[in-house]
Amino acid sequence: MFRSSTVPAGMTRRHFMQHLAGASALALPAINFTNALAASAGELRKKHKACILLWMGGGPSTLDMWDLKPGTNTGGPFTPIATSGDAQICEHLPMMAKQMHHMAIIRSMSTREADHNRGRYYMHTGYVPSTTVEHPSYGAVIAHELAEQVPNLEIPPFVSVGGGSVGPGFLGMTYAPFVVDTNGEVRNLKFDIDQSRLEQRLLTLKAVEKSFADQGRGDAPKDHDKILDKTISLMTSQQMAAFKVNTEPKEVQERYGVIGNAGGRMGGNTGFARGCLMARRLVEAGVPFVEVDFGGWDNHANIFNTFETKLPQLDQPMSALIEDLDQRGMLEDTAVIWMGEFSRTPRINGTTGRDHWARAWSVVVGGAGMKGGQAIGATNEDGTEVTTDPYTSEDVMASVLKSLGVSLEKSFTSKNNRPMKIANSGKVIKELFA
Amino acid sequence: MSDPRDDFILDLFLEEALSGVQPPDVSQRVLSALAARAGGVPAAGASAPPSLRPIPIGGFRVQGSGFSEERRRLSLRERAFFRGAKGDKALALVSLALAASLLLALGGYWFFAQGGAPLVAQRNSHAERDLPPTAAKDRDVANDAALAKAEPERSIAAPDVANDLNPPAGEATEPNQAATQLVDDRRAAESGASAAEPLDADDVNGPDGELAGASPSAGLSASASSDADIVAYINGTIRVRAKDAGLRLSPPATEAEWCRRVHLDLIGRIPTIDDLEAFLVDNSRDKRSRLIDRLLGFDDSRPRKRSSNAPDLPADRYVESYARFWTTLWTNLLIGRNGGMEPNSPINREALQQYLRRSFAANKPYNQLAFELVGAHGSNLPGEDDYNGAVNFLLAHLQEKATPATAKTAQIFLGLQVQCTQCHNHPFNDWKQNRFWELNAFFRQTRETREMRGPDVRLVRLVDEDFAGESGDDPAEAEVYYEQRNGILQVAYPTFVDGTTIDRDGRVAQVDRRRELARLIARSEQLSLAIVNRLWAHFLGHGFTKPVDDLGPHNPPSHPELLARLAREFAASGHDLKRLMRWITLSEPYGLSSRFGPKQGNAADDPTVGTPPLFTHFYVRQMLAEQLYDSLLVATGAHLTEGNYTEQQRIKDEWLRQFFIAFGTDENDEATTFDGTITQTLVMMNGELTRRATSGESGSFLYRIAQTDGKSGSEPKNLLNQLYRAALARYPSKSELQLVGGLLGARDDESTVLEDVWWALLNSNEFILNH
Repeated sequence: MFRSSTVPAGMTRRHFMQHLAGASALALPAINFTNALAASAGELRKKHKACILLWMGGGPSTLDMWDLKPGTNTGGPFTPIATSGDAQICEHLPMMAKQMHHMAIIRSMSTREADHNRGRYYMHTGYVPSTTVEHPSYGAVIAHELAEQVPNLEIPPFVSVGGGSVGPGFLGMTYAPFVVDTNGEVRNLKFDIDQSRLEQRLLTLKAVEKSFADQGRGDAPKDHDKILDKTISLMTSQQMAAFKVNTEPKEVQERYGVIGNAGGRMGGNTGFARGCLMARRLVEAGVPFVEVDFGGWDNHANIFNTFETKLPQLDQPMSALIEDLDQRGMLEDTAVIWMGEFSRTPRINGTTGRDHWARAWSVVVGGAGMKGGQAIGATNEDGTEVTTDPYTSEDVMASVLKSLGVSLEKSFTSKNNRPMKIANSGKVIKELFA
Repeated sequence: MSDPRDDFILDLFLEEALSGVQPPDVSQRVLSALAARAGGVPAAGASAPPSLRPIPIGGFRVQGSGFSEERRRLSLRERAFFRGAKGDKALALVSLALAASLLLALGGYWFFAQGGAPLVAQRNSHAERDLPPTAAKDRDVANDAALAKAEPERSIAAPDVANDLNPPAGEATEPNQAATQLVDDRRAAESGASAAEPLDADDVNGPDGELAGASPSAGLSASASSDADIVAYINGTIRVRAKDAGLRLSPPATEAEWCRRVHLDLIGRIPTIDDLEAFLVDNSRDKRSRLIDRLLGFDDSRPRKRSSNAPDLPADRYVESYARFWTTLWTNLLIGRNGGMEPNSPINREALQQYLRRSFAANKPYNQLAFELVGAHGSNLPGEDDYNGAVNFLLAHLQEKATPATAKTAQIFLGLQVQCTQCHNHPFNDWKQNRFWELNAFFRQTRETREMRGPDVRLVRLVDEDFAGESGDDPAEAEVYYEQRNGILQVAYPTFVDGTTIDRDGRVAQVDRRRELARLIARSEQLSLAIVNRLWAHFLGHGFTKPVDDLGPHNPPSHPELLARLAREFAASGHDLKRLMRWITLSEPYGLSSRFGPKQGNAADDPTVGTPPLFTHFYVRQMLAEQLYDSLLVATGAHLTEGNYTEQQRIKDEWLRQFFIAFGTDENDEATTFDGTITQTLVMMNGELTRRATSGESGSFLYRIAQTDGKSGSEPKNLLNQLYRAALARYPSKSELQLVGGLLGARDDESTVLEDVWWALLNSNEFILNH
């Protein structure tokens, strides 16, 4: 990365890294890491496109949240309520109901992958798992396409909060998710030796590193070398403050549900709330893609009791995020996706749960110019089939990319030199841009 | 599966003529076969089993119980042959090989025509494959009987379980009796296993001090081929395939590189300086074979050379390192990295580990291991009468009508990915939805019962109870229902993946379904295919298929004939894991350099771009997190400042946990942030373990070499040599010496320079990659 021609002026540290890359000179440049940083921090552009994926690991029952079927055999006990948009949603999402004019529910999702691993891969990449190609996930694709808009970004362009996401595939480790806890603590960031010694260490390290990478042993040694540079960059970056949600004003933290427990609604489970607040801070700092994971939706048993406590834990932080982005004028540039790997069977099983179901379900998107306040498509009476044009992972991905201004004509080349159309040639969901 | 290459004459040419290994002394083999036909192998020693034995070839050791004895038996004449041949002209060699092969081939035909099966059976496994099962079994039984005489302790060690795996033909199992039998078997097998931690010498070695590791391979069944034959077959196949693809093989790795990787892959850590030195100064031609055996624990009786800067490893004996490493791998495979880690979990991770550790230390036949894990009964609390650590595998997967247990069992032991077919027919192979539920039906008698102590789980039992079918109508026809995608309800009864059905009765006294499944698995060819593919991937970096546990016509292997042959040989060896590991680690592809490209003539062989692996070079890969941790300990002696074993294990678990994230699904899927991410790099750069390792504090590696080499007035260069050898198994290059020399010259404090160099080495790609 430091070898690229787009090294910005004023980045003495990168200049230093170039010396390391050469690893020839023993003369160590006397430089001051932190000063260089202070200078570049102010240059960050305010306006840029970004995407936040709220990932619901386990496969949430969208029939009980976004596409209710009251009074049917499959409907479950919940009542629909009116929203600020046209669509009705579950009574246990009252705060989201006030934000639905920003969001669109795609109710005619129909996919084939109902295994967790396969579904997770498919919904993250737009491709089904293959034995020969590893496809890049949302985060990697968007980071790859949008990284240039914030050239001084030192935080990795793909951050995953509270979960592992899906990897960068053939785009390489440079676009791998940087995984952090919801507490925002990035461990092992501090080095406890003085700077001159760190420089000498890095000089020695880069010498070994480069000679091994140059021996023709494939990509792994070179990838390690690249990650090393990014890590060094991160270790000295002031941008890391973006991870500190605790520095937000008290009211903001309360609105998200990070503190205060919202009258018991959060049940002490503040991880997702922290993740949502961190996502806003990271996007503000210039990160183009943030995934926030909220798991525990694999409700094969006892689903309705679980939802009564779980939906409020989703409702408050998600609604806070959308409201906050909107109030800061960021929502028009930030796409928000809510989805899991699939949904759950309309049929309620013997243990009052629902099993895996990919055939007819919902995804929620909004922001970045996508038209909110609507429900797109529909399912039949008991929710087992879609009755309108079915949409897929590829279609959602194509639509989100379009909202971010990424060209859908773009084609990647996989490592085996096969052309890979971005978003797997998915079709833009036209209602989102009507 | 018939392959045109599966012809033993052709095999000969493939193996000897094309593979480039030294030609065998064929006359010996012919003579021995003659002798065998005449009524017995010349007695080599009182304890020799009366099975057919191949004659030693080249530097490789042959099968048999007394490995070291065999080595000595290599005749002087053969040594002379190979020494002479080594420097000789290639032409003479090739013609000799061809002539020899032809001779053998003709001889083979002659014997075959005479109805003399022995030579053919000895030479390759085809004849054996074609034998009706009963014939093979008779021979096994005969061998076992003879063995029992020669090695009385064997009949105590694994008597009835073995019987279970290979029941005599026509055995009419009496369910009641059989069930009791199993309980007794398990008690016998576990009676030692419930003793206290940690593993001590008596558990590993037999009462007479004989190395336990050697015995399982001592002839449960006579393997058809010698180690050398099999290694030659691997080498030949890989070479032929590479040649067909127009590729050349990379040159061999350096001795030190090979030494490093074989330590990493067999015992999960890099070699100490002493390990490395001992290997490099050894000039004998079978040094690799001997090192492998030592790491596998066959040679632990000999005291190891030890110098003051060799750290005392927590598991000092190789057999323990081996058992621990493979226990770690298998624990992660069976119950995931998070299985049993939450407080009050019903899964007893330590108990499973204890079971596995003892199994690997004793080199339990793999089919027995599979049998015990799938068929386990009992409680998971050590000290209980019915304690059985193996139950923890299934305890982790019983939820949701045991559908995870169904999927995991198929995936781990049979290399079949069936989880998708739970809900619908498989999109890519011929697996239909019914087959998932037919396999699932085997698990439906299985229950867990918990004993509580207050609010806490005290122990969990894995039991089997009568299952009257989902309708509950007729226990003699105990059925399972599943729903097709069109909503139609279907019925399923226990049917194994190969179509074998068992009685539909759901009463345990009539049919113990899980035990039947365990037996079917233990005797399945698929079991061998799956483990061969898994181990091949472990050692070579890529399996014959990707993923390794997805075998089937929809996903053809890269080297089908090699996979099939290794699986057959593995089964014929008595499912001997250590022998399989020897074959692979002794093979040519495992010993190749990881450098590749246009210069080496194999630039196209790069599986990371999606082409099928051709194994023309060693594939560089990330160390596993566990390998990296243990290697850091070896390289730094960081653990010497720690507390006892439990404390060390706790610290290790904590270190590992930071890399793995659970997805929060019922299948306990996990993601890792270990493989070459910023998170990993941060841990290596600034983590506590590295900090201690490079601080030079008392007891650390830096401290020790400074004490010994530093005090004796060595030059800094010697200290640097030590650092490079310890971390990278090589000497510093000239330019590296210059660089560090410059640093030393510019700074007063030599020890901090050493710390900085040490830090740099431990953070380098060359250290954290297995190359």
